[in-house]
Amino acid sequence: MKEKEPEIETPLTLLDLNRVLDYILKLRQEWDDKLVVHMRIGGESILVPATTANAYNVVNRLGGPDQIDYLTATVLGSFMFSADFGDGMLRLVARDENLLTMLSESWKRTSRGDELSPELVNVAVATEGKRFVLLCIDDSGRLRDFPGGQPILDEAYVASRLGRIGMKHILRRFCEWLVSSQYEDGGWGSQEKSEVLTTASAVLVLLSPEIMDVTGRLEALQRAVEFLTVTEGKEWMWPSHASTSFLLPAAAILAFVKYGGRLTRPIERPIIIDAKGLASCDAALIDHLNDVSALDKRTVEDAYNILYEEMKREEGKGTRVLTSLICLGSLREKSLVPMQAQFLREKLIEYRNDDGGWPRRAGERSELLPTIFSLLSHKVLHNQLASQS
Amino acid sequence: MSDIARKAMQLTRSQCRTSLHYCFACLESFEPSEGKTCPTCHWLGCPSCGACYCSLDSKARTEVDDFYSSHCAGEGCPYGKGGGPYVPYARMPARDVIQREVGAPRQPDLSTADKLESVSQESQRAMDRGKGQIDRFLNDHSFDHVQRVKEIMDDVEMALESSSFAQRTLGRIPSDQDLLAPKAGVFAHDVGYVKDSGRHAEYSADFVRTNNALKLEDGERNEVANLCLLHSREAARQTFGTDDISELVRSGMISRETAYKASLVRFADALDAGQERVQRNSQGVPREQIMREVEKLPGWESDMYMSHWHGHQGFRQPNLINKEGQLTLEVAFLSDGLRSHGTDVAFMVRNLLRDTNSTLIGRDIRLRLTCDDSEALKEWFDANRMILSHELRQVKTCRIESDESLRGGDKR
Repeated sequence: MKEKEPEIETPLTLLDLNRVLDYILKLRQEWDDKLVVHMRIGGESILVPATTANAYNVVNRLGGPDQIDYLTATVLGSFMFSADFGDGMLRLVARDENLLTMLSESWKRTSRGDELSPELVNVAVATEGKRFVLLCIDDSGRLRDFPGGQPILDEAYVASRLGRIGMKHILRRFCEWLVSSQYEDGGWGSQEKSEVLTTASAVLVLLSPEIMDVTGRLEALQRAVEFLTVTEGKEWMWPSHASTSFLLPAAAILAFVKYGGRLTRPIERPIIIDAKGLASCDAALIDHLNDVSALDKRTVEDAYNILYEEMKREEGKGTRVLTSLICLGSLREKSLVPMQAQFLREKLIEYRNDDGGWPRRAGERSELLPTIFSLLSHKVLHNQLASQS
Repeated sequence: MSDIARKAMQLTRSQCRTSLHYCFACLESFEPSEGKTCPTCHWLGCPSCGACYCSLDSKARTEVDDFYSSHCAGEGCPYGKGGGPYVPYARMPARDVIQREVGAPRQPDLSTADKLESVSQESQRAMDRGKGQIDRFLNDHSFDHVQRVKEIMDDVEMALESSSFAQRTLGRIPSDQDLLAPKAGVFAHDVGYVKDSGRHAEYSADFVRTNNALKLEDGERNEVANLCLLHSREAARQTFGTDDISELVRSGMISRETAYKASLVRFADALDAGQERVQRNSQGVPREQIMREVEKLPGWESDMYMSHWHGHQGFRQPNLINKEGQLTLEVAFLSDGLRSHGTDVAFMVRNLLRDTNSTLIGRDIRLRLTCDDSEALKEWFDANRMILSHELRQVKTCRIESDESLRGGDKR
């Protein structure tokens, strides 16, 4: 048998479908009849038509882009270009290094194009987002900030939104881990020491309506709230402006309010939060605050304007600003106007990495928390744009 | 009325045949035995927040009363909702009485064979009725395919047991009861094809969940529905983000037991990929006639479907056997097919290996390729090895052998 041919593997997203078809068109022009293009879609294997329009026709006839397993272009004995959408990898194999480099460079020069259909974007974001989040869950059920990274603790409340973005099974697994890893005193934390913020975050996760039947959840919640009650202190007071210690009281008070417990020290109702404070929240926290009707329209409007200005000044290059803006936008009385929604969606997709996740800041590695904010925000935008159209 | 009270009503409506209650103030779920009856309103107080009917405002009370009187009227609710005889909570029936009287209808004790027969009959009926909806130029997705997959699965299960794969994976040899779900899953796995080829696995799962003629217990029904979903790599990807069954076990999304059963269904389905699959289409029209019709289609459509039929035609139905304690996947090629449409055949083998590698079984397999003409097979393999390179890397070994017994065999 021959020696193993040189090959290259690189991440691939369904958003590259147009790019793959354009690239294959280029290869056809160069290799003519020698090129064989195959596709597996909906479990069926077929030869792909030569024109892009007909190829799309076939994709739609056989179930849509999310049904594609792979698309390959082969010249027997020379090379194979395989876009494996099933596992999100582009594989190039060639008879020698020179040809491989040439093909690879040519692929890099092929752009994604300006026009991506909303349906394709929606399918890619949902399926590939799930793939990224699944890789962040370890063997014991703990969620990590990226595959192989540190466990998420203080910001675990973000995971409670997984049910809303079609990942109830991951939320359930994480809840099972939370129930099994609760400390004797009813709390959670790092280094065997219970901490208020981690515990409040865990309570918010365990209160998710999608996982009510997880064994031991009720008992775990009762013990956790007892821990929070015992440790209740003045740092729980709701801050009137954004501060570095904002998250702790926010999570703790939300945990109490959502659980229906009574604070021994009364807090103002409704929860008072000013626009600047709200603008510093992430999308998941805004979602929680909205759950308990803690947001008034004026504050939402003002916070939205603060973030929008920040965005326009090009300071808001982080995912948090963008996704908070989208969530606040969807809560405003008139919601987002289509042009703004369209613009924000384009920004969101621009930030997205090819592994299906989002970074904290553009160009960095994907992480779990910004990915969950972004998936939540994308769903909001998609629903809004679909209803407007 | 608060959103929480509204949500509690939705939850109550969706599971009113069970004893689980939802608090209308905090949305917490609880068993009635955990709550104390309020002496004023006779509602159960929520064990979490203490709220009862007295805690609701007047508007919420009106809406809740309307809900119970319209949704529960005449349902014989043992909790006294919706009219009928009032049953105070203090005298609530024992748990087994509730389960017997208002729980989900229990199936009489049926044998595994009776249960499978009901799934087989209902699936066949649905597939026969809807087969006209399936693309006539694609391979067979009729009940004939289902029956072949059923036979393949029996053979695969025997190989898994005799090679000790089953014991290593499950810690035991699967019983008849263990195999009920995968067998029923095979019968129902393609029912959804008559509705939508792309979403067929989801429709098949719905068919199992909602068809009352299937004589399955609730737990069995759910398990079979899940296997229908998992048999399709596309549906698994959309649900979980991956189609790799080993990855689903690692991340705790499914149990090892479910993974074993899902692997059986997916792998058996994948093995029905040889020439038997294209002797007729889903409507029972013979291959020769379909090929004549395909030739008359416009250029690109004709090429597209031809490659599909030629690919299947190049080899016989693959077998999984236990060869000297090793799981061996045997694919017997026909030299005519390799010479005339070798690339189409290579893609079909690629698909078979991709499906196999996505199951628990894939990691343990040795591949044995045979042909009536070993030179033709070697030539074909050398010419198409790039197409198979990634998939072949995941099998333990790949051997190419001659098989004289295939000479003069069926070369349709």
